[in-house]
Amino acid sequence: MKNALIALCVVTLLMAGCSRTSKQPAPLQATATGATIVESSGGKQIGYAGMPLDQPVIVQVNDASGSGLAGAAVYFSGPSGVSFTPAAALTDSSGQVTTNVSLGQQAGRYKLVASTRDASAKTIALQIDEIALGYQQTVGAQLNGQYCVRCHDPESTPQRVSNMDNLSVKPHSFTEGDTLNKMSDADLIAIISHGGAALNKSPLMPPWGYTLSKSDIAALVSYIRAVADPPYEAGGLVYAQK
Amino acid sequence: MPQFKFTPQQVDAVTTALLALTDRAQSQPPAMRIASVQQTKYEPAGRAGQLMRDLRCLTCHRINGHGGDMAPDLTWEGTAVQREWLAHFLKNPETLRPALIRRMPKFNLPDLEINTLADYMMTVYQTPEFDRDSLPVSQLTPAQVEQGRQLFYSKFACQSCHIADYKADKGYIGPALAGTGQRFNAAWVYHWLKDPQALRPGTIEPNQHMTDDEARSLTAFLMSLKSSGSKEAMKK
Repeated sequence: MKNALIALCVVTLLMAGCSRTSKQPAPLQATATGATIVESSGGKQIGYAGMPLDQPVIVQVNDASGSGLAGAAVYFSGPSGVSFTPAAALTDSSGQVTTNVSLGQQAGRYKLVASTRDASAKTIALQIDEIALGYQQTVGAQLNGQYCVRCHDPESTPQRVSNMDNLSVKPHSFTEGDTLNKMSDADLIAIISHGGAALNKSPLMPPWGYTLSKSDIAALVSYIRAVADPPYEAGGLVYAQK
Repeated sequence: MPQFKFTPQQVDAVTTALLALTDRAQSQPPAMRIASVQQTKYEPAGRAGQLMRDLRCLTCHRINGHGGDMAPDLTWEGTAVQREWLAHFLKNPETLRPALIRRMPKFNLPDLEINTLADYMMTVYQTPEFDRDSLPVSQLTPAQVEQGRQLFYSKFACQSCHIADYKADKGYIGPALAGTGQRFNAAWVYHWLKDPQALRPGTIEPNQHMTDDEARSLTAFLMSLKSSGSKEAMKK
């Protein structure tokens, strides 16, 4: 009897908990159903934990012939803490829906989902990845903007001309996960502190160990790990090398 | 006010967060709030000071902690540069940084005002740390110039950010150094190479931890650079 009561309480609590998180937006009256949903822009942004992303996320619903479809219902969802304004909307005349995204308080990668229904009422979904920087990574991002970006980012802006093409050995962009994920934290710290020559790489990379503090360099490494594409997965315990 | 029983680390964290709540911090993400830079009330004095106020120099340049951060800090400009170069630059401010779009305006000042400004800056804006004449170029040998050239292009790879020779180098980040011998005082170059942040806090020039010999050789090489481009401009 007592167990049954406890079970009842647990079930009631669970339902109460669920009823808050599973609150669905009011259903939209879709006037059309698409065949595919594609990302138009706004994916892979680097934002800050708990802050809105700079650019809105825009997705497009296409019909079977691949052109934009107006009046299809699009629903956005993400991990807890992520908010969308709006969370659901009908596509406009060009087949697009624009939503502003605010990321959760937790730093890391956020997998957002935009979904719509096709003619047979089957859900078709699109995954959009965004990155939220935490405190240390934000410090790293700011140091990157001050010291690194002009050589390590191939893109130029009117305020900041990229120096990458002027270098005889091209630096790696920090998003180049294929290369940088293979390097250990110790190697990255060594290269940043002592320059490329320290690891038999290009001396065009100067040493920063006498300019930046150890915690600055740790922040840079955490930033580089945060923006890696494909994502960086920290290795487990290494008991012996080779 | 409740007693929170914070650990010392937590007290530190809360204190930092509260102290970071300044006006300037509001435009940044909460994770990055920092105290704003306090401006001093420094004003240049005398006739040159009046001229500098008229020309609004401190809108872009910072001197003794007062002024903008768009153009180089001039607090120790008198130690850094040669008077002849400064007067020429005030007359015709050609760009020193290849990729910079911002330009110092050409003020078309009469010679009298240029001399007033140059004299004032050369006399007043001096670092107390060292004498600008403490390393005469005549003490630097051709052997040091050659060693400096090799250090410039190999060990320190300065060409990744600087141009020493317009035909060979392409570095776009720091100022072009092709006219260093006409622009700077050797003692400034030497002390800059030894510890750039000591002369201009926050500069992105990395401290390369050079030995005295290396810094001296590099100084010899840099002071040997007299660019034809700026030499022609000097004649005008």
